[in-house]
Amino acid sequence: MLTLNNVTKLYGTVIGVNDITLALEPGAYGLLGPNGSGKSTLLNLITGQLKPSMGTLHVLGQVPWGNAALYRQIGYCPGSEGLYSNFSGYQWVRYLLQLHGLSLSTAGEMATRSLGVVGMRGSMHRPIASYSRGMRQRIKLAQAIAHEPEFLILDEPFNGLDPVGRHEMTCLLRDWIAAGKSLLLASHILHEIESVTHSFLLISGGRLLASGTAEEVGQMLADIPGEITLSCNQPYRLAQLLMEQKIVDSIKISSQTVVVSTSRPHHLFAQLPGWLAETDVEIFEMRSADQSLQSLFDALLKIHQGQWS
Amino acid sequence: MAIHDLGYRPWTGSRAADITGSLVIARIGIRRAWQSRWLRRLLLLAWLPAVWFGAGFFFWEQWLLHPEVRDKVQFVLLKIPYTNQLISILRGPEDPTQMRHAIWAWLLQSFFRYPQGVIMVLAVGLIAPQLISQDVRSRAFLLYFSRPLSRFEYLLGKIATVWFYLAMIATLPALVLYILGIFLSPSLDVVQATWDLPLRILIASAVLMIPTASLALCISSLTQESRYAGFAWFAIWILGWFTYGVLSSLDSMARQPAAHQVADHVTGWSHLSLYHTLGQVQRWVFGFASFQESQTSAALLVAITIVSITILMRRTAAPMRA
Amino acid sequence: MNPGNFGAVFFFEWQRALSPARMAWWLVLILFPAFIVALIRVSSAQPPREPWYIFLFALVPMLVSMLGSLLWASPAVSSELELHSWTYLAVRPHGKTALLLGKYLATVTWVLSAALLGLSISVLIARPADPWYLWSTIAKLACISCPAYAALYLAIGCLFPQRAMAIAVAYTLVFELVVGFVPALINKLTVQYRLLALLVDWGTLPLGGRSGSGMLAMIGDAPAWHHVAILAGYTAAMLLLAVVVVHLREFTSESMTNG
Repeated sequence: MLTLNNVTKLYGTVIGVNDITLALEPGAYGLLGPNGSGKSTLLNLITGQLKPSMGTLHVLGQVPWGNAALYRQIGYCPGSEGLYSNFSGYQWVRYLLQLHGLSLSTAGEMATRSLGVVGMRGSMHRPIASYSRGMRQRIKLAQAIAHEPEFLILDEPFNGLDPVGRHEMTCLLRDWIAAGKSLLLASHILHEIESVTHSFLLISGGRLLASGTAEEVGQMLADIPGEITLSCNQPYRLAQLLMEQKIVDSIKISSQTVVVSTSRPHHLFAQLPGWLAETDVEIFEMRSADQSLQSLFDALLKIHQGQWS
Repeated sequence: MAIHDLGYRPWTGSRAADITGSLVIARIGIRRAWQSRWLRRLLLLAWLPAVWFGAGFFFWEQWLLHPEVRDKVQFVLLKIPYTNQLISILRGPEDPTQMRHAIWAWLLQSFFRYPQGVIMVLAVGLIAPQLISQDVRSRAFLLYFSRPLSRFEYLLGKIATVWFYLAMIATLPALVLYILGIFLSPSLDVVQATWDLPLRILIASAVLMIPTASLALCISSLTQESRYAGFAWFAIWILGWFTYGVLSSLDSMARQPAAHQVADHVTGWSHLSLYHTLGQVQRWVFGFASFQESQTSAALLVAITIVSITILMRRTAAPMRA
Repeated sequence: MNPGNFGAVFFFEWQRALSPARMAWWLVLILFPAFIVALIRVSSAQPPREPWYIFLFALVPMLVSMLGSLLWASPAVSSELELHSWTYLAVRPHGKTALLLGKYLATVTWVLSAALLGLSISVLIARPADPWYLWSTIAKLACISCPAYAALYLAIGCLFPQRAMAIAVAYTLVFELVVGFVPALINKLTVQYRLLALLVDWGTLPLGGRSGSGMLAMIGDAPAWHHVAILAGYTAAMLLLAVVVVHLREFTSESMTNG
């Protein structure tokens, strides 16, 4: 479905995408990366709006740049809005369908159908200026699926959606996948992607750092060294206990708090109750640093740079 | 009732004066505009006429030193448009050395009116249309006015952005021209004869900068799309030029003036053209027209400024009122 | 490419043109020539034949064509980039070409309609000795100048999307309004030169008098079909340039910085 061979995109001296090699079979994938990681650049390359500075790229077996035939097979929902606020959702989606060479009546029927799929049939004749953020996102999705493409590409589709909107968008995308179509969903929020697909591509700094399933990503997160703050009645006793277990990399003690840094937090969480059962140390509170995706990406970058094995 | 901490309130250190808000907005506006390659090229181009007019200062001094070429020079000038004022000065009864003030004033006035007038239109068309329209579209207004910033300070900062570049295009080159004229003169005594010209340059700059910047920003505030603001800006000048050009051509056809008398003579239609209205007031500033001849033009510029600022103040308040 | 693609863009753009702001500018372009003609009639006696041709040429095939094309054609690409709507059009089959050609057609029809209406009202006010001949001459010139200027500004807008309007104005001032009147080889590269030559030919304006030899040096003595053919070729070349530029360059909304 998607093949990249040493694809690099340079903006002058700035690297947008750096030597990415990838081969994806038809299916659903999440493109996960922090802001500024190169997700949008990669999507622009896949949708043929940019040409690679180096390397080759094929989508559905074709080069996307200027490929009219390919545009009939892919649907793209960008991150930015770019809607004509004086027009209704129906007029806008119909217009974009007409650009596929469809007649006015056919385009109208297909627009109505796709707007119904996204739950906008009741509001489709209202001007876009009157739409909420969630409605605008749904209109954007409607234009991406209206011409019934095989491969749907979405850039941050959950942006600005409330919880109900997120749930509805998730259901839509799951239905899409269940119909046997392919999907590439870009986001910087893990659980958004997780709710739709279990296959991830992790991108940061323009590099494809890792790929795998949700479990593998979760395992990676769990194994990231982090700080854990423990509030207890006997901080020095607790510190001694942890040192004896040889599970911490560093310890900092203040009046009622022990802050430990460990590369095996998973192991610590699992074993700590057992160790404490044999002592009179009472732990009032335990906090771990945010095991965010940023930590994951920082760790992956260190691995790629050879700082960690 | 809990009063929400807006962050800056607990600050107990010294605070800068309120006017610095405008300076911050102006600085950011100047920096953003400076990122435009085309504006930088235009600024470079804006100094080329100064070279041309600097040559004018040089040739004037040579004209004083070599009386034998005066008739030939006047013959050449008769073929050049817009020089009737210069010719009438040269033909005057005064001792040529006494003409220095008039000649210098003419050179500076022409510098303001002809090349810099056109460059000003292009430069403001590059800078001003997006200054307020982008703030409206991106809702940056909400960010600005959630700070302790008044409308006046906001607008002053925006206008100062335009003024800065107009000063780079008109005021600074004109002052450099004046200084160049002094260096090309036989002695420093010329300062005594021409001391008022730098002040006239500053006044002419104010005449150029205040109404044009106000009008440009007024247009920018009326739309969220900078291309419409840009179009409206250029359309005002183009339509005015055309109107004046067509109607004065009609008069010229009836009178059949010489080449050097073109355009300068007819002032009746100048009020239909902003460019020529500015030119008329600048003629008064440099002493080539009386106040009676220029008062209508001056009143027109004042009216444009007042109306533009009124609209600006209302448009800037509109998001808050909604 | 299906012609329906740019037909869709054409009709869509005309729908966008029905906004109050655009309609206001349309009315300004219609009424401005009439206003000037009315001023001429009020302020002076009825001018002879030739000045009417020159005035209406300056007002309609020049001013209205240029201003209208400036408003519509020069921001064809930049407006979509600024609104972040370019992406939706670029990922449609032949979307970029359809956008350019559709906008071009919309520009020409919008501007030409304003030009012809304005011309009609102006001729009615002017009441020249030969109204029909005057109208038809200027109308023919407008039918040539509108497509030509629209194509020119479209090409400028594709080459310089970030400062399209200012560059188009600068180009017009320097080339069309200055170089176009220089009696040398260079003015033959301008639209102005061809239009002026056609005006003199179709309007049967005399080349004698004070400006006789100067006028001949400025416009040459090539036949009218020669100028029409060259203008048609020029228009096609500018359109082709616009399409090629848009296809070769990479446009993204993020690229709309202060350039």
